Amino acid sequence: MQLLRKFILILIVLWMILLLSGKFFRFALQHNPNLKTDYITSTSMKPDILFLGPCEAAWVMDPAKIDPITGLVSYNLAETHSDFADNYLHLYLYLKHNPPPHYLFLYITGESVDSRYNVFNTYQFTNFLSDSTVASVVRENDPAYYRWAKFPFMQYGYYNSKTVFQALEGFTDFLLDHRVPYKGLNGFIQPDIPKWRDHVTDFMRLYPRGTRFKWDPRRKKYLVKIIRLALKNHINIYLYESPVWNPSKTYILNRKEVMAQIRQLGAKYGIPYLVFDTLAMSNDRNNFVTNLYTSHAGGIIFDSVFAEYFNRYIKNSPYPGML
Amino acid sequence: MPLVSLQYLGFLLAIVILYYLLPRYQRLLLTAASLVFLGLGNLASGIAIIVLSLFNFQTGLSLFSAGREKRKTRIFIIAVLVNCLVILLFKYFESTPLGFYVKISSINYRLNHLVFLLGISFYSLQNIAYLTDVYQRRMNPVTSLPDFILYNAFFPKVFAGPIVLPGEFFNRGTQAIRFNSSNIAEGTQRILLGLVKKVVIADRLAPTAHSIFDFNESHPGATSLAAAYVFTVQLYFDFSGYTDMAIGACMLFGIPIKENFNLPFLARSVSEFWRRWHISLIDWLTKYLYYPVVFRLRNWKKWAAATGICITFIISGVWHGIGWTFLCWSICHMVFLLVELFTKMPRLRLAKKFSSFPYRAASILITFNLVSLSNIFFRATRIGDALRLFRQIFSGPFLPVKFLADFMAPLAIGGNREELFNYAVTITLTAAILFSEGFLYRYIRGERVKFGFILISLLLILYFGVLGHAEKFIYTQF
Repeated sequence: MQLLRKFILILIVLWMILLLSGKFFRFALQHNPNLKTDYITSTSMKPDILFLGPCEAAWVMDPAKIDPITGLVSYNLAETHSDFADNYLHLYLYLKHNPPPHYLFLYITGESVDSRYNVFNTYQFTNFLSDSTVASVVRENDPAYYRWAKFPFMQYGYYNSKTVFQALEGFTDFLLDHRVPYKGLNGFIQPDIPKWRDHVTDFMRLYPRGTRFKWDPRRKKYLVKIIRLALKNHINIYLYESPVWNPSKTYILNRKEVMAQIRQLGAKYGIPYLVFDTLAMSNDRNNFVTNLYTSHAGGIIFDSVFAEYFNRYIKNSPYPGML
Repeated sequence: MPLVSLQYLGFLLAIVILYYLLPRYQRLLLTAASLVFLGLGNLASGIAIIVLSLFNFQTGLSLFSAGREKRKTRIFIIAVLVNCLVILLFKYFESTPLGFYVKISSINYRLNHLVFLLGISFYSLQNIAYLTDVYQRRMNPVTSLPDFILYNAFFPKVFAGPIVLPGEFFNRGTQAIRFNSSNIAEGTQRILLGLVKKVVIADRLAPTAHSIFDFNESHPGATSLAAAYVFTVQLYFDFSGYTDMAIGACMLFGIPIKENFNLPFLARSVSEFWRRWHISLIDWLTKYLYYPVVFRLRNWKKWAAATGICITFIISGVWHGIGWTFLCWSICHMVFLLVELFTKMPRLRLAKKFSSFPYRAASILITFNLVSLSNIFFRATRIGDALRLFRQIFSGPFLPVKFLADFMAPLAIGGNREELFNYAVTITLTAAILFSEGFLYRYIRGERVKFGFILISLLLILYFGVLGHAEKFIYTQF
């Protein structure tokens, strides 16, 4: 009996510690400005342009370079390694706490529609599971996590390799009254890869005869959800692809086909797909750190090309016969 | 049913409760539970264990009743060959390109279950030990089939041992085991320690080893050497974590199982290392292979021991897997032990010249390095990968200046801080558990529930453990 009593006592103490830990993590994460989900829901923002997508958008679209040319304010809502479900929740949370922007640019390339690339990063939404929309997306994309999240603290403990650091960082920021993200106020994330990383060689080794992208139904479903959410909020949404290093295109056998399908999908909702794959910069490897991310030098070129393009074709007349 | 899962812990708890509620049917309950456990996870493994148990059980009886010595020897040799052939067949299939494809392919998950029979390498050795003991009249054959199936299939240890010798298992008597709070307290604490070792240390180290071993990229020597160290520590925590969980679960049933590890990184020689690492396998190899060989060649004196070492380690390599990597790994250890055997006297003289602490420290360091370097062969998927790492360690630039610069540069812009934090946590926890392990084993012994230990272990698992996507135990693949 004494043994049983001790085990029960341990369980009660553990339960209490976990409940308190859960509360601490919630508070600390809310005060971490480096988490875009927590930042956009706790800071009032009103940018004119929003960029959305995975790391190609997060690392390339720099508002500090684009805004001076367009004369507008932009915010980069893109998140590294994210898929469309992830992007959808980012946009949903943003719109729940902030007024809709005028323009939304969603990055999409062949890799975006294929489930082999990028993932749903559940740990970014640990603090928002009480929201039914977030909960249903999390349940669909990460059912194992969703089951565990019902236990005390497990909504944070399950992805502790991410949340422990983020909570400590948030708590430190709270103590120091630090509200500015390390990665900048405009959401742009400076690439962690500073120099050319020859992952095209890995790619060629993996797919010596080239590869074909396959449409994943779930990716398609969330892409449509993003488009509908934007249109419902009267946002001028554009699909776009930033420059791709030209020699790598040879290994994507159905690139043209997938691009045409993306264009078709956009057209169904009356939105254009902007593809910047004929720029001269795409031939120079110095403009890239991988086949899809531009280098610092490449980023300067593309951001200015993009801003000029925006001024000329989009700023005053959305959707000017681009379809 | 994965061992690191709530299902397993729930299953274990249910069986422990039933075990003490039904004292008359304890062995039958454990046999049935073990078969259910295996069958639920992998039906083919469950069937295989029954078939092989039946074969060896019947052979044991035949050996006992066989009149003539010649006939008895013939039965014994055939039965041992059958057991060896079963191991070899599965090991060989694994090493073929088709086997490798089936093993890694998620498409062929069902096929994977059919051809990779869990724990077969471990219980086949137990069966050979049983047949040998009956043949040599060290024990009478077992007359209860459920007991014999339990010997092979006992679920806490069926996947990766410890390998139990028949004398240790069958000489426990038949009386019911009574509830003992000391067993429950110690068993629970041992399982927790195993879980901490697995999910907090081994699984946190796994991605680092994976990033160096499994990608054909060039690294400076120090990085490749660090990968060898990391894998050695990962392997230890993974395997000893499994063993702690197995021993802890056996304790819950009041069944003592012998230790498989004894602080191996404190070994001062490779021979001492093998007395501290995977003890149950080495005990088996020593008793059923090394001693018979040395006894038969006893006139060769030192060369008898040398031949015994060579045969034992070649067999050990094949037992781990058929392929050049395991062969090279076993040859490495064979060479280390032969050098030790033939340099015993000069080494003793050297030890006398130096004060004991520096000599001991240097010996520990050299042993750890030798074991880690040989583990490059153990971990590498192909011999070419292993040779690439050796080339990087012993030729080319050694210091990872560029790697460190590339890693540190993004810190200034807010990048890599999370990775740095996680590295620091992993190194700190690994060092803390490695250095306090001896103390921890002593501390959790006895009947008292160590409140602080249980609480801290659970919190470590929840705060720092790799949950949800835990890696497979490495040795369950053998």
